[in-house]
Amino acid sequence: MFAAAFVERITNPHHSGLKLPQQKAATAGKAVKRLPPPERLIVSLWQHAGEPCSPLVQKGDRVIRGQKIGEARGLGAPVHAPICGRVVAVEPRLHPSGLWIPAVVIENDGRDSFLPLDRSFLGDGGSPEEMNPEGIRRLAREAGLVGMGGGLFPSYVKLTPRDDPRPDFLILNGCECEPYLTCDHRLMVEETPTLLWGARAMKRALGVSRVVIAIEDNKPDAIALLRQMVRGLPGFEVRVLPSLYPQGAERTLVRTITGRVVPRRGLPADVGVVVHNVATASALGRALLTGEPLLQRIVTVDGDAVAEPANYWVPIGLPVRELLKAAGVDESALRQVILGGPMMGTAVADLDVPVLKGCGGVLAFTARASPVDEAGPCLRCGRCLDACPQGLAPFQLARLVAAGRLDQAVTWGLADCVECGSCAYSCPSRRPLVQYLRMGKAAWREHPRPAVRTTLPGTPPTGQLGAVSNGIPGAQPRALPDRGTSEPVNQEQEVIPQGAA
Amino acid sequence: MLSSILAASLSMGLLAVAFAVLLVWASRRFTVQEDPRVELLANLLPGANCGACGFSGCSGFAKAAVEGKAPADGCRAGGPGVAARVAEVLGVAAPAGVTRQVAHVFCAGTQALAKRTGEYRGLPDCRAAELVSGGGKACTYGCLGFGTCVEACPFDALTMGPEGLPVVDERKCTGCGICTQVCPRGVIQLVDAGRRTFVNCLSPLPGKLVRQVCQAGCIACNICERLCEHDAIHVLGNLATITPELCIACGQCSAKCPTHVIECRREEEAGEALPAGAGQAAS
Repeated sequence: MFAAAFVERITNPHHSGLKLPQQKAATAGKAVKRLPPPERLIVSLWQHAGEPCSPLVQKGDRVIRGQKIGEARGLGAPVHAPICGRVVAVEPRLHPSGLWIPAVVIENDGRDSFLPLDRSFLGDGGSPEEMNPEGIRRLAREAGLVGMGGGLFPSYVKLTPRDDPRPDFLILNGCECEPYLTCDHRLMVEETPTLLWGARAMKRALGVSRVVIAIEDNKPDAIALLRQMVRGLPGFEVRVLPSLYPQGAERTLVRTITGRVVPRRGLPADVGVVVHNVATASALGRALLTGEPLLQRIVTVDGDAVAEPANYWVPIGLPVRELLKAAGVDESALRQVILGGPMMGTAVADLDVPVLKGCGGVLAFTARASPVDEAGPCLRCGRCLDACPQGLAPFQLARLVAAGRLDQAVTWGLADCVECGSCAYSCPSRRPLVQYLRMGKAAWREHPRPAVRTTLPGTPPTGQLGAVSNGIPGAQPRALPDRGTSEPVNQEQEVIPQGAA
Repeated sequence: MLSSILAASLSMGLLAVAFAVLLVWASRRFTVQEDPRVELLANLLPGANCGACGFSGCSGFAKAAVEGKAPADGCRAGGPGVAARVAEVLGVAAPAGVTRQVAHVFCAGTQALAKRTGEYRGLPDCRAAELVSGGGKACTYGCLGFGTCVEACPFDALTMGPEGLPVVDERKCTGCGICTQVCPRGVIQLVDAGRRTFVNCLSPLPGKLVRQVCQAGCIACNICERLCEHDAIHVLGNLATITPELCIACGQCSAKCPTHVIECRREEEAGEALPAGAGQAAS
């Protein structure tokens, strides 16, 4: 294992990155736990890149597990009811992004019936290799699959091969380079059959010849197990990579594994590569085998405020507060809660926000583990330049953003920042570099700035409101920020790739 | 001794004369013909180089105006006073219908009244805070209070009030609109100077949700709409909205508003609509 990583490291010129403290020991060795049935779930209608879904149910309706409750408008993914119960509200609820987004609130009625997805269009064959590729994409769409590494990009789009260039590589991202997170690790160990079933279907849908499962060398058990399981599967390969951050960033991963460089402002598909998270592959496998849409996911709950750090199977829409309670968190000692990993995740201000499809971790810290660092002046030491996996000059970009010179910052590559946090982590002066860059990217993307927060049913068109509230209702919500875990996805993914369904 | 003094002053004097002749010749020979109106205009303008006109600074606007690329009333900071004088210099008709505008903060959620959900740590800038789970303020429509607008104001017309909301000094405000552009939530907007009634809330959420996050938000109770005898206030999309042309600022709605979100200024408190030499405060 380590020998393999060592050889990989000295023979591949593309390795670079930070050695971060791993912090994975507390959860990596424990089996994924089940939670008691939830009392109520807040299923957000915005869990993908694109417009929020339109609700298909009303207050008072009864829903059963697996029933579709929100339909995508345009680019997007539908959402389903993770439990049987009664809809107690369809109203705006606080979303982890800090916006009020319509959500379906379901109260558990304790019944257990299940509505599987229609799988008749997959073809007659039993194995993924005989399935109808169009059918696989359709199922991926109907199952509400999105990039579960945090990108939340609808998976069916990434399962549609482009004509030029034809994809020839599928990379399954099992790097999980963020500290603390072990959800993908546990998934690879415990859900191997569904993972590989889904991976074979992805291979079939894309028509690629090679599938590489990329895993960092800090997960020896997953590597050994997958190596054994892919034996006999043609075209499959497990690649062991050194544990360097951000190994799991899409662009970094494509470069490390294939040696191809994703062009600026481009997608991996531009160089014939498609990257999917292992959790997404597993969810597809589950949908194919059992007809279950994306209703639950593995979430790592860790941090020094957590009494029982472990991975949990969490139904989509469970309020973060409930999850923390189940993991034995004393709320009074709580200082900071982060959704996602410590490098790319975001702190939440309200514990009543629900877990989304792309949330790989919930980290809870006390004041001891989350000290306040005062930012100092830039020392021009250049460590951020060394750390940036995109080859940018973060200190310079931050300066330009602070001075309001966005055009120049964009020329210097602002839009290529993947917000991995390496620069801020390396900064000896503790400057919040990523924050500057995020701010700049938001300002640049929103130019001209829309004044908008959320779409609400029943609000009148903008015109009537006159000068008092310029364009508040009815406007487009802004792009869903990365709730990253181990798969930092370039923001530019909002652009629909050519050849999208 | 005397001869050396004489030699020195003579040679220096000759040099001085030679250079003077050279300079006079050069200034005649290489002179650039510039429209004298450009300088005249540049002197009329406020001189804060705020850039609200879309040109690079006041001299840029002056040049563009003389070349006919910018309208006479293009200087937003200058207001009607400057517009009239610019028109005079350019020899065009004085632009009609220019009213002085000032910035107004459409949020009443002070630190005491608006609920906070968390403590924001990071870049002290509203635009950065807004991206982190809403910046710690429970209301996602209200002022975040980090003072990005205060720092951006080129005329020093904004200050951060003691209650965490920016305060507009209408005498200094020129209506350049820079603050409206930097506010990530669009809380600051331009209104006609002299307007006396405002609904200081922008939340289109239903009253129940507004009440959960702020004691000073519009809860769409419709009391104002029922009270108004002039059809000047209506609840649209869960938010009371005033039609300034119809409002006579009688103060009825303001007095009865359960959350005191409607502000009604007395006549003497309202800013002057067209003060003489509007926009000259910073020149």
